[in-house]
Amino acid sequence: MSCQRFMLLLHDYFVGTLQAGDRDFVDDHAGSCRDCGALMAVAKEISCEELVEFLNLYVDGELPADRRAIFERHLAICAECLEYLRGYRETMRVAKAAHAHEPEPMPPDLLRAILAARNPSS
Amino acid sequence: MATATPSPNWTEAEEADLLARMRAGDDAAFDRFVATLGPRLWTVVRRILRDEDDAREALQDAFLSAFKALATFQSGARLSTWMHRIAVNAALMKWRSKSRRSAHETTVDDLLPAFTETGCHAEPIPTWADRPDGASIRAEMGALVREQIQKLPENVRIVLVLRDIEGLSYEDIAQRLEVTPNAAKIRVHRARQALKTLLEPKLSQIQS
Ligand SMILES: [Zn+2]
Ligand SMILES: [Zn+2]
Repeated sequence: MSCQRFMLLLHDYFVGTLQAGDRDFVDDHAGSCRDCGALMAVAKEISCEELVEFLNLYVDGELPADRRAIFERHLAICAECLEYLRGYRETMRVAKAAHAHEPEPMPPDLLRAILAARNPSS
Repeated sequence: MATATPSPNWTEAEEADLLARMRAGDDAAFDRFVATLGPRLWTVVRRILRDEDDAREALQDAFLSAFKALATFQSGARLSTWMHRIAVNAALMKWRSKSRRSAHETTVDDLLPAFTETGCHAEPIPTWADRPDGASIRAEMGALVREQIQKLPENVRIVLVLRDIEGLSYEDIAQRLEVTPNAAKIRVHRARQALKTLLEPKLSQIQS
């Protein structure tokens, strides 16, 4: 029962909108319950803002292993960052896909102009 | 990430033959070189330069400087890869001469996600629903994405094109735009974030 309440309050705890009483409850519960305490430790490893700020390094595979593990633990418990990551990757994918088939052919007169410019005398 | 280097189906032997004939001044070899690589390189310069006349000048400059440099081309490199580099350089040179005149350092701060004082997301994260895949949806989506990319400020748009579309390395981008590799990385990140924000309200139009 208190684990459930802890889970419900955890998000607002990090947003900073909890009443003092609820905040104390979250701190107390994290201190006394092993599972929720572990969750709290993961949540405190990195903020959403920091994760999003360096998301490119995660996506481009440039993070050292220990840092990457912190990102992955955060993504496992934070639905918002996970959704942000998904949208970020989709953005990269659709940007690339949008240029896979170009609608515009090379102007034929440009081709002729290039060949003519090679031999201006002829 | 796959690079967008144009790669015609020339074997190394065909390339060597074409190169030898161009060095000997054979007009037909030049015709073939331009006709084969031209369309792919046109695509590349058009991605970098929004203005069609600028793109025409850049592609012409690229071919003419390549013709002049044929004598010094090192065999071992691929002719098409070498030509791709020359075309990107010519387009960027043109781009820099233009963008220097216009407002240069425009930021995309208003398109970046917001956070609370405690580092949490300040706004709900839009969901990217799976949409049905099909040729007409892909075409519509492609047009929409290209349109939104055009809305990015030039100094942000250019790094997105170079990295995520042309597949250049951060080192290459940094060198060509005269910034540090780290600055290039951050700018690419901002470009992706800004494009994500621009695309989100548009996506629902396509999901029908
Ligand atoms: Zn608990
Ligand atoms: Zn998060």
